[in-house]
Amino acid sequence: MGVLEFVMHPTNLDLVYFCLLGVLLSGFVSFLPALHMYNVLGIFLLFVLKFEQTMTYMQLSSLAIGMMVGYSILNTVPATYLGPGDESLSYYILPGAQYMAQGKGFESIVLTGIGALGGLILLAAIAPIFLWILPGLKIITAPHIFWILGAVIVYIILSEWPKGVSQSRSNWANFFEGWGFISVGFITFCLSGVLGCIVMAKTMVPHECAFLSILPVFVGLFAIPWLLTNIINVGVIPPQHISKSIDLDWELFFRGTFGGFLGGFFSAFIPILTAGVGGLMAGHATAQRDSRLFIMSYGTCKAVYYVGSFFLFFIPGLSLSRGGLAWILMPMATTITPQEYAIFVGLILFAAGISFLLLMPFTRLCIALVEKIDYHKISLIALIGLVPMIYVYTGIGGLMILAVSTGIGLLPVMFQARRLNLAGVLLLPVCLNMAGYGSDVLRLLGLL
Amino acid sequence: MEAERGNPLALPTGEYKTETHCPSCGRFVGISERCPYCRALTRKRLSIRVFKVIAVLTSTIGLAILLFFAQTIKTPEVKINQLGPLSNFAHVRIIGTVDRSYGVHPQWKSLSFTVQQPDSMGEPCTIRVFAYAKTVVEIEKSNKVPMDGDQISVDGQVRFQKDSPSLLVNAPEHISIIKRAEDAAAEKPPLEPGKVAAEHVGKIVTVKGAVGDVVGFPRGMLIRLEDGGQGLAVWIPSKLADDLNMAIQAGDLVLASGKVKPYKDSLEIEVFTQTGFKVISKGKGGPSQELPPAGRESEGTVEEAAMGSGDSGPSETPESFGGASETGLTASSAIELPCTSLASITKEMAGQAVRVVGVLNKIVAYKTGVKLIVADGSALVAVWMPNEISAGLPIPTEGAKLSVEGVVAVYKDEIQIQPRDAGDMSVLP
Repeated sequence: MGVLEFVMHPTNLDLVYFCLLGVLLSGFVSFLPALHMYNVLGIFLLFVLKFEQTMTYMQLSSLAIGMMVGYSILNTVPATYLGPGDESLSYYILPGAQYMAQGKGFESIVLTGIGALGGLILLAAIAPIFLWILPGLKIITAPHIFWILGAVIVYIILSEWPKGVSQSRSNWANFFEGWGFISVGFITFCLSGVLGCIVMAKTMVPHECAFLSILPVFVGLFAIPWLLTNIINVGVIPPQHISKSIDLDWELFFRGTFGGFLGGFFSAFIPILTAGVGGLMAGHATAQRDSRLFIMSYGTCKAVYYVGSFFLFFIPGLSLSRGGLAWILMPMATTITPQEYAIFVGLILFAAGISFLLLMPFTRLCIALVEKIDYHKISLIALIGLVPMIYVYTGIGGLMILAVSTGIGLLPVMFQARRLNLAGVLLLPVCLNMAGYGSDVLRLLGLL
Repeated sequence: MEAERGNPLALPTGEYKTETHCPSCGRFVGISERCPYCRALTRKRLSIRVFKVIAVLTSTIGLAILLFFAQTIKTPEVKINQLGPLSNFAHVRIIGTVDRSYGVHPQWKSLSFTVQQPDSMGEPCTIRVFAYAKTVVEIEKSNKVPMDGDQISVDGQVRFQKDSPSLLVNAPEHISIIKRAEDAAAEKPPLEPGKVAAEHVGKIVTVKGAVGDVVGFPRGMLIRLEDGGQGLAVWIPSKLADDLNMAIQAGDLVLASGKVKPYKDSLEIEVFTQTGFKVISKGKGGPSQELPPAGRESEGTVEEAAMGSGDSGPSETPESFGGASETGLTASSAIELPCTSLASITKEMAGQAVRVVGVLNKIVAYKTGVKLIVADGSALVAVWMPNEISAGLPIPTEGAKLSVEGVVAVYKDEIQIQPRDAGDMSVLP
């Protein structure tokens, strides 16, 4: 109650307003297919709102918290309904897509939302402890980050597995069948890593918009392949059932929240890692097998990663920038007091509650939408809008990056490796730089 | 197919089934193009095959073309005032003058310096440039650590934080020294010490003059060049003094290149590099106002003069200027300052080295050090011993007779004598 009273104090009500606005905006942003929130928010904040002239840093941060919390909960909806699984394209269908294929997409989304809400409550509950332990943890881990990232890279590559099922009389045929998928994963990782080295070493976009130089990379690696596969997808969305209850017990809730929180916090604290990597590692570490557990844990992991990485930015005395949004706000950052930190914790809880309440009507809206509008058309419209947008903000250099990154992004989809390998785009160059070999690799590539 | 797309909620039939099931045995094959059970070919639809080819071509040939294109990109040269929050992460080149070089951090091995360039109105704009330890090792190896006043071209990634930009350097190739300040200064005829004026502040100059006095400090060595007045101070940091490892004595004719800086009410020159300080010819222990009378009369070195001085007996002679002995500049180590009465020490003497003898009147302990109030019958003066100097020293009792050497300083309008190391204070019998 104390936190709520503090947040609802008249002097802080403008922050509540901006936070609420952020949640509502995140609903809109979540509906823009295939675009990551960081990209949208960067353009939105700097070009549309001209926030530097109109908002204080605290108001801007409150808006960003609202958007981040809202996005981490609400973006599951379009991700579920605007890209159904296609067994002719995928080796395996993730549990969320499987639920949707069984008409239980609503249940899957609510499970994800419960997981996210649990993770954010846990994050807020231990926020005071962060003040004590994180500065020390930062000092302890700082010299070791490069090998931690190296270990994660090894884990990503080694955890790719052979998916071939056919058997031939030729040993070589069997060998290639087994190693083909693993090689695709490895090649995808290497190619995306080289792309990352190029993009980080040379700015191919106008320097006036350089903060968006990573935009074409991510749009190409993740968004456009998703849209393209949606367009050629022959999978269909079966009728969806709006359930009135959820098949979940407390044990599953706590296990999912705990596992998801571990993965989310790990990926939030260690630079460059994402929720996908953290969630995978935490899932393996906590031996998750139940699909409900997987879905809920994924929701926790994603929310804790997005919100947690941004939240680290506001911890007084920590000086830690993780995640794209923290980097976007960094030029305007000012010193945060413990009182302001407490306000942000309260705003996270507030935004999490509002977002969860919005989740169910938002899901019903999305179901109604995909019943009326073909997702193929939505994807096509999004693709047509995306390419000119990249050109406007990043020029011809951005389009070149977009084309290459789209090709690399299509590799794991078309040849059945995991998209996780695309994380090499940041993991490889950053790990090399931290280990002190970055300039050697750039020299080898002729980029110095 | 079209019928299915017309009804988004239709069940998977038709083409979907032919794509996912073997046309020969009818079993599920998923993504496999050859049935794992009967080895029948299960061709996927054209769109998938086309995208597979596109993916392979753009990710390999496309990446190679992108790499080639990136190799040809010349880093754009920008002005510091053109950088804003939207330039965050841009890789840009800045050409300017090193305003202040902080050198390589002794503990973290990082490098930091600021580069200055005038804006369109002629006002100076500065940007902080930094590099992390692993890059700094290579920068040091290639002798590219920038010094004050150097004209440099530096490529780096813009980091914009709290309304101010900085530049992160990731490779030694990204720093190129256009002209060393020392070389530029050396091209001009050296100044006489007396000609260094306020207009030279912030600039690199070369002066030529005779050494009047050498005083050692824990952090460096102060050499006063005779200029007909108080002397022009030349400051050599201790690390550089260690590297130089040369004996300097009063009367030596030296050439010093460095940045002119104000220090209290006077000017001093700070030398940054080994080549910035040269002894042109050895002196003969020439006259110096700071030297004891024997030194002035002697034709020998200052060291010899000091040792032969009969004015101050061995019992009253503190061991040495510890800083001098640490730095390797040996001449000053034996310089003994004349004893100064406390009443004659004035605020105007701030920065000067003095030696006083008196009785310890009072000890005041602070968190950061100890203040000793010393009296000699003519006046009282505070001697400030910070913890790093007083640690390990036996605390003299009140009433003890002390000999203290140090630099005169003014702290909160109070005159203090600040010893430079533990050897600067001794208890006399």
